[in-house]
Amino acid sequence: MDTKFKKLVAETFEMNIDDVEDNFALDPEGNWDSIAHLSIISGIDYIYNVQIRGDDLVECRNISDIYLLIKKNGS
Amino acid sequence: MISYALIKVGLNTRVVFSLYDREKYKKKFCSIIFLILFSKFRSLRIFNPRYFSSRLKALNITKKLLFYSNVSYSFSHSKNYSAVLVSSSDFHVSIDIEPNNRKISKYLSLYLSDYFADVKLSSIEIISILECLVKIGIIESIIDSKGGLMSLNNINISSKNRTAFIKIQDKMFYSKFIVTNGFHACVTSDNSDYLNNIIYVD
Repeated sequence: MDTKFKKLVAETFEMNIDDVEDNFALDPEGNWDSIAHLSIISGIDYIYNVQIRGDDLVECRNISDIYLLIKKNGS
Repeated sequence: MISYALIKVGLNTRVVFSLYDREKYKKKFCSIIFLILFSKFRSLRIFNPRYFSSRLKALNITKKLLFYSNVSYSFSHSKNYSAVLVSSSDFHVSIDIEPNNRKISKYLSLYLSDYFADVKLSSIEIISILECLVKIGIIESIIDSKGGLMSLNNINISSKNRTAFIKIQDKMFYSKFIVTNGFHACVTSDNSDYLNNIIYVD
């Protein structure tokens, strides 16, 4: 997991980058709301030039799942 | 904390907005669920506390204020709070709530500035408007089904005195922002009249 992605996660979830762990959970009834979805999709588009599908994103359970999506869609 | 706004439109149409903490609804779940299942507010997601409480709140409002026909309604959930908007009319209404202190990432702000750089509203307010337009059904989603975010070139937004005017597909919509209990609520409709007549009834 690269630093650019950790920075994006930290900004999206308003946390310190040092607290971003690979298994950071995405809670659909808490932190993982529509604005978080939009922040992650727009950030991945700007940083990696990769377009993530919303349907794939809602299947993610932690930030490692999102990072795998970037690698899968970017290759 | 519970807030209500009673919005009157002409003689017959009323809109009720309620923002409340869902905590106290947990105990009522089992005993009242059948009332909702047999109402117009039934939902496949009724067993989720946030959807249960908002439907129950809407049901109570319609009973209390005798809204029985031509009811339109909208729900929004954020953290432990839910907002319910019920109208005794069939015009389009929708609501979105966000915490006042919610920050928008720089990338999402960049995306919005591509389309709404001249709009005198904050990024969070523009996002709320877009969320409301999705709920009304005038736009399908902000997220492109093929990947990335949608182009918003066909949406024009302007604002004056904390009211937003949205033109999309030759149709006009209007949004007003209500600040209460640490949240801002965006109420959007194709009927501009009620936005000027918001009265709080705590």
